[in-house]
Amino acid sequence: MIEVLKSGLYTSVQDLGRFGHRNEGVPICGAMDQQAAIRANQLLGNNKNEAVLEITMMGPVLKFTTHSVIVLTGARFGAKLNDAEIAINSPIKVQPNDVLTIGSASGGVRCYLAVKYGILTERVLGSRSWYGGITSSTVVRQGIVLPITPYEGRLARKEISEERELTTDKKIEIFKGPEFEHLAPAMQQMLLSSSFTISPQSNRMCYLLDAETALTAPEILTAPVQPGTVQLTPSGRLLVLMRDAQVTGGYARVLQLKASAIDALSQKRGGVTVAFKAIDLPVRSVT
Amino acid sequence: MKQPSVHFFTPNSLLLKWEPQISTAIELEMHGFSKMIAENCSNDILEIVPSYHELAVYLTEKANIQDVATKIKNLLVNRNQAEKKSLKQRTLTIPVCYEGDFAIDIETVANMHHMNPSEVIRLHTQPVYSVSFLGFLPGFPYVSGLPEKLHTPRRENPRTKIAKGSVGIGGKQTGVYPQESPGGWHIIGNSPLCFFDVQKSPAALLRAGDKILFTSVSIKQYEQIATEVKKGTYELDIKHDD
Repeated sequence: MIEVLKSGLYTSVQDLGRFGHRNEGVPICGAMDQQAAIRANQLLGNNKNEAVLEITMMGPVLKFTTHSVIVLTGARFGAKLNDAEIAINSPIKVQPNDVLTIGSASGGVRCYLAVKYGILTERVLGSRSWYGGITSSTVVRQGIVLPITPYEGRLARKEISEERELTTDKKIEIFKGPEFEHLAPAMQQMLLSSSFTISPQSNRMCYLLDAETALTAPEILTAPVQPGTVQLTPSGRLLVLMRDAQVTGGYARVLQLKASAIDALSQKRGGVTVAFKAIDLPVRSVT
Repeated sequence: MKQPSVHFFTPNSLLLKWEPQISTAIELEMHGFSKMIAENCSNDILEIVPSYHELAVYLTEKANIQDVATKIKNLLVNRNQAEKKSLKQRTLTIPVCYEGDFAIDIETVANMHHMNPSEVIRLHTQPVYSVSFLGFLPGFPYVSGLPEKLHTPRRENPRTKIAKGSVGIGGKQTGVYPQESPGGWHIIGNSPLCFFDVQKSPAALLRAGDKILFTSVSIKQYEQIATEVKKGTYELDIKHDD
């Protein structure tokens, strides 16, 4: 078990998402930075879809009551096991009564804590990812207990050679979205050439981008959206839908982030500037 | 009706687009076609999400999107009338209490339309509505068929909390909030039914293509139904079409 001594700013259990229920209005959810979550599981020899703890900006304090092996991936956070500092991407053994203190992010936004065999909170509709109204918890609270399987074996199954550094590139790779062609050419140009500032209000559902531009688009008849869909509102706000996004929306879908760009954006903080870089989909239309 | 066009949404999702309008004919065709794609491309499909006039087809990691797009295009072209499948439709009767604290905005709605609250209830319980699709919240139905006399603009200041089961009107739409949520609709009643329960399969009470009727119940009846729903003994009125 893991006992939560302090909750941190926004800590939740996430796997790679809940699929097969979007037609019932259920969001996918899952780790914001999927590459980091997958890497954490790989470093422990887990299945890539095991549930991990997603830790945001300021970390929790956790006490282990069983033996296990753990690893942190994603953004760099100051972290200590008892009094010893621990490094990112390095599996480490823990034993009963060890206390893991995760401080604040020194770069990026989110880090992931994986344990051997994954965190075994309830699986609801095929996934352990926390989401209000679906799972009984939304965020980690002080005093709760997270079930894990005791493990006293070897550190890790294999080493992962390539080191993924969080990108500092301000370019976000995108495809043109379903309503991109509805924008006037000048507006298209503005969208692709402007810089945008990430709003501090950004969260797991949506990143808000602000810019001093004349961008605008009329509302559309409510239609499907997915993580990475960039909506343009009539008042000129850009909403980049993230993992907890609803399944349909009524704003113009002007752009669509490439899958890896969702991971990259999820590690960018409020106040950071980004711009879009258009890449091509294989084909635009087959009829 | 024009054939839908097939578009790439991402490298592993497709969008099928019909004419942009709210139309029962388009919805029926979309639901039938959705079923046909699910049956014919089951190995490649992760899930299919309908809306008013667009069907999103999300593919598995292993699927070849080009092949699936071609297959879907062929299904569209080659299907004849006999093959047109539509979902077996259901008609569900939804009890709603339009009284007291359940109906916080019914006076406002009635005043805006220069009628009595009883007229609002009469009009709201009259039509056979259809569920176009689910979205916004788990189990939240987008319901078409609200009488024009009840079309009401959304509240200028959305509420931060709307009670679970609230029945509201927003613009040309009506619907039920399956869980407590913020929202900008005018609330005219509350249903004691449970519209989303993760312990059930499917979790959502309603599905795209359903027909629904609202029926007015008293506060006493509401409480009785709520107790039965809690116990699991409530018998929902569902009629299946042939």
